[in-house]
Amino acid sequence: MLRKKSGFTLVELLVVIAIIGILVGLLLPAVQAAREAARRMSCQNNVKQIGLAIHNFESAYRYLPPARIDAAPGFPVVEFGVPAPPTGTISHGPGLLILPYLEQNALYSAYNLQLHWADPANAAVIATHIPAFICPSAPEGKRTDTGNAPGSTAAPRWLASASDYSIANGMNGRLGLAPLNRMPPIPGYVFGDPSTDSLQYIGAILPMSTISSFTTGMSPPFYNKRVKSRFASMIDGTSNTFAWVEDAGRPTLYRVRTAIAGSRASGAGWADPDSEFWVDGFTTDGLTSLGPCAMNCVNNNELYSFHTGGSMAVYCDGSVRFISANTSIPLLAASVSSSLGEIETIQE
Amino acid sequence: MKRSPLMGSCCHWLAVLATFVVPFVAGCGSDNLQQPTYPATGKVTFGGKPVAGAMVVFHPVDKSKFKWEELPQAVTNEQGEYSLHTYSSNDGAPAADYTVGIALVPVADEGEDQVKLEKNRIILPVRFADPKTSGLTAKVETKATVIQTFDLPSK
Repeated sequence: MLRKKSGFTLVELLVVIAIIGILVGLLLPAVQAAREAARRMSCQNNVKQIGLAIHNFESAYRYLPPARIDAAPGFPVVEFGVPAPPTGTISHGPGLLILPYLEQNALYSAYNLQLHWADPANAAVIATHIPAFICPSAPEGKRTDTGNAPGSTAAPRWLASASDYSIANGMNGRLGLAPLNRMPPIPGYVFGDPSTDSLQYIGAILPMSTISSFTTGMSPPFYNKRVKSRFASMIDGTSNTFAWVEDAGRPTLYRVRTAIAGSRASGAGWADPDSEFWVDGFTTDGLTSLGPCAMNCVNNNELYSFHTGGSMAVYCDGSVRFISANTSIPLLAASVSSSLGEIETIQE
Repeated sequence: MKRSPLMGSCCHWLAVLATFVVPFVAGCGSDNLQQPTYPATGKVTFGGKPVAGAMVVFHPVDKSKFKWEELPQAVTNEQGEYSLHTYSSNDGAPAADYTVGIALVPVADEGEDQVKLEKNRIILPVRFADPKTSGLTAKVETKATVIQTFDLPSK
């Protein structure tokens, strides 16, 4: 009787190895995609937390947490006990006021609103990393921005923990004018006339600022007006208006997906009053402003995320949506502006 | 005993299957809907002097072939020279006839710096901004094109 030969031939082994190779090849991108999907979900969760925080703030104060606070000589911000400084301004960033609603009450208590945000007394607070402000998809994780103390070019420099989220509360009105005509023009806006430069597509969450240039052009420099952003003034509907958006990766400057060595994207810190921004639109290489690219082209005070194909935004109704990177400038302007009567919704 | 012929053909088929699967794994090519562009450079002067920081935007006369975001644009350098951008840096513009609008705009939006920038700015007449009233035209051909210098009259 012949003994049955057991074992595999070389060809069979090679085929099995090839198949395993192909399966692993299929699996690896899927695993990477699953990891990014998880990071994206975590990022979405952060944005949702911020959305809930501003709603809880609104419940307590009857208006939304301001994009920034500025007290100027002669003009205190009495709502938050910010005194009028003898010179310069006392300013605070957008992340600070929602800290108690992000379970960071202790940190909020340690911050002194009577002093400038970059005052040495606030240094420990503004340098604290807050998980809800950091998007896991941003490559560098916990980042710190640095700059000079107010009115000084010497040390000590302040250190501010970065936030990947901030407020887009305006759209550059020049995008609607000749020679660009990239979106519907704003009535009354005259090109090159500084007195009408304030006629931007104004967003929902505005600065509570006595620096008039933030809301009414350049002069006078200061005035006694403290804008309170309320849901009632959002006539486009809260579900059609951005509250907070992603501008990830600051203070490192990113163009498209490349970090630019030696360059800084300003306003990174969650406590930095310059954190909020107006959207300008950029060319697709991220080099020149007023281009057709609405997001993910440059992270210097524009919409930017490290997610493929778009970025996260929380709307004023508290809903979080993933905004497609192909969103056109007019559609983006409709979502940024709160009261120009457009109710177009960005498709997810 | 000879091995079963079924066993041999099974492995054979697996190998054949693998060859068919690989191209699928390699992925699909992306649709390239961009128009071909040709490098286009030029210069802007105002009363004979070069204009720095002017935004030059080319509006196609026949818009049917252009999507809204396909608006070749560029900003002039210190010598008043520009190189058009449509999809990527200095890639030029699709070959077509254009009307041109030119306006001075801030290159970057950086808070207080912008205010200073605007105060030191020369003012170009508004009519040059709108391609309908500027009277400026240009043609980009299917090769590297040097656009004629736009000398804006100062009066």
